[in-house]
Amino acid sequence: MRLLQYVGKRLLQLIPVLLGVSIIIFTISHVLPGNPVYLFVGIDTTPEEIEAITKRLGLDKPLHEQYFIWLGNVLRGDLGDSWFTSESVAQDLIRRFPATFEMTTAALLLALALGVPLGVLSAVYRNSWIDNISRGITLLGVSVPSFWLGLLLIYVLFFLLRIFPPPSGRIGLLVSPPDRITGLYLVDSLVTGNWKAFTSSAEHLALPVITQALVTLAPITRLMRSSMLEVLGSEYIQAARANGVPDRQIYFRDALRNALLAPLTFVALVYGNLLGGSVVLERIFSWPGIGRYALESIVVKDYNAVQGFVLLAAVLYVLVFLIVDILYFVIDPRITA
Amino acid sequence: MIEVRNSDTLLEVRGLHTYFYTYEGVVKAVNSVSYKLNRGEITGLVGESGSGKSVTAQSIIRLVKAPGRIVEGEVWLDGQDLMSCSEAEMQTVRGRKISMIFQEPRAALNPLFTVGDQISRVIQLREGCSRSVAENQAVEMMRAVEIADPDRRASAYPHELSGGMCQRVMVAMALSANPLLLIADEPTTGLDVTVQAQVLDLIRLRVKSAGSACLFITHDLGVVAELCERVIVMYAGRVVEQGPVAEIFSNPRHPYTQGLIASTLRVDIDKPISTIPGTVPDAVHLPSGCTFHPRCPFAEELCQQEEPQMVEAGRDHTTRCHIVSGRIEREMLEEAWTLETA
Repeated sequence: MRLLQYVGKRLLQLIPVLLGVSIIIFTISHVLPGNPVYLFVGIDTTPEEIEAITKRLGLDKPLHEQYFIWLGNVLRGDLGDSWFTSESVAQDLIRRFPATFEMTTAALLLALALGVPLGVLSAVYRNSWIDNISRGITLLGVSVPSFWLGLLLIYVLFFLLRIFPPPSGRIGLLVSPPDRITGLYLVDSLVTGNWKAFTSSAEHLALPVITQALVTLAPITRLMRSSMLEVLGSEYIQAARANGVPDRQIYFRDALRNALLAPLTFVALVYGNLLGGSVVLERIFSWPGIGRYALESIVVKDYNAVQGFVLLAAVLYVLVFLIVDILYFVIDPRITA
Repeated sequence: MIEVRNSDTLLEVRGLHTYFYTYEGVVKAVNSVSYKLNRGEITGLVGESGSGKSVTAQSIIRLVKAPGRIVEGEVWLDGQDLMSCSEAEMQTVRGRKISMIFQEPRAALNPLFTVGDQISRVIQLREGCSRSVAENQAVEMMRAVEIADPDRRASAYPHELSGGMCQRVMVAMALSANPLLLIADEPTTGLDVTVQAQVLDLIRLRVKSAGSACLFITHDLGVVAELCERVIVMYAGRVVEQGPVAEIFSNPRHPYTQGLIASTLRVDIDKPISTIPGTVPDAVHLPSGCTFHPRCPFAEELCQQEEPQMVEAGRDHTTRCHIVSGRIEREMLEEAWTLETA
């Protein structure tokens, strides 16, 4: 009940946030120099024709009127058409987003699955060999840029060792993708029992996911370690020890839950960022996600596509933070609605 | 030294040394400390902050935080040498034979669990009983420490309770064990005076009725006079004086104890409050000889050169001072303290 109330309240708070975001996106793309009308015309177009096109695109109306027309369209799910792919931007994004979502979510889960225990172990066995190894890994992870790591992994694991397939996208060239249900190849191929597609897409996911996970893992481990150290030094942990609570329970029951609070915000930040698509990694691995779509749209000045992408990225960011806020609310009783 | 084996002795600490290895140097937080606690008695452990009171307590239950380490010493609890116990054995001593009450009740409770959960968990660990039995027992314990409406309060989180209420929860948790030894580390700091009196009453009642011993750490001599049978005075990691409360308060022999008593506010006598000049010495660079000599109004050359030994100063009353031992012939005048501040 308390939770429902909180979620309701947070959802209501999203409305002004998203309205603000839409105003910013609209304004920026309309005050930027350059007239989109010229994208539709040739050298020999007459001023009359230009005026007609301006009118057709609604660009002659005052800016606030244009905004409301655009907002109305957006609310109906119409983000306009892409000049480059000549398809609806909404459709373009819906088709590409699962690729980004699948890769970044897998990478984040892998980073969490490794980073959290590594950080905890580092803190519990502070200054031991395991702490030293973990600190080495994290130092490497924060110092190495993802594009370099991606290329290195491709060189070693594909080109030299042939363990993983070439960076040719989400699935082998000769394998047909699974029937689209969610757009996530792993899920769809599992649901339809298409093992060939499953293994091929898993293999193709491996390198970009490992690259992204290694880069993401480093700061998560660091934060987890310092947060855990702080909690382990706290009075209530000392008190639990004084009450004869065994170490294992101290670590996993008393300390871990408290120690997870601080890194949670960071994870949200990272995930929100990743969901907007990693332009660099999607390019290196020929990954057909929204990051690459955005990059291509920017290069050819495809305004509708860029606008649609920015809006989607902003909405995803806000949603991730909503989820994290709800998680905090569930974990930490000190937060009240 | 003749060893008197007293059957009433519950805890005996012998030659305890706990050092902290810091970058600046070795801090001898507890330096050759020895004392005994008797069953059914509350012993006050007093001294200024940094005198090693809390570290003494942490050493007894072997929970000294890094970079601290127990270097030497024996701690005998009811015939068991705690220093030679394994860590697993220690876990069965903590929370069963020895319970501890902490200074900051709210900080000593885990913010993410309800207080009922935290008490019943300790009970469950100890008794190995079912969860519901432990929960019932937790509510009973909360009732016993006079928490009103314990059923409802059990499902409250620490941040929802007042400091005094949290301290009662800590007391309930500590006493649920029926411990042989209760260590209370400044349990009433930060509480209202009325709540403070109630918490002290609770502790006294339980210790007396259960025949356990209590080590009561405080810097409040008023509380010691009211609550304790015996008192141990620590200064810079050493015990400087110990004995029965009545004896120490009426006839303090160590200059430091005299200073402490002189500096407490008395409403019944019209006298100015004095202070002990100076501060607790730098723990890394302790003064030579008697560590108190730089602040002592009676100090002479010998005090700088040689550390005094523990000597008899009365019945069951020992202290560490060259004047008391007779190596320096000098009278200690009470006026010395008022003169210092005048």
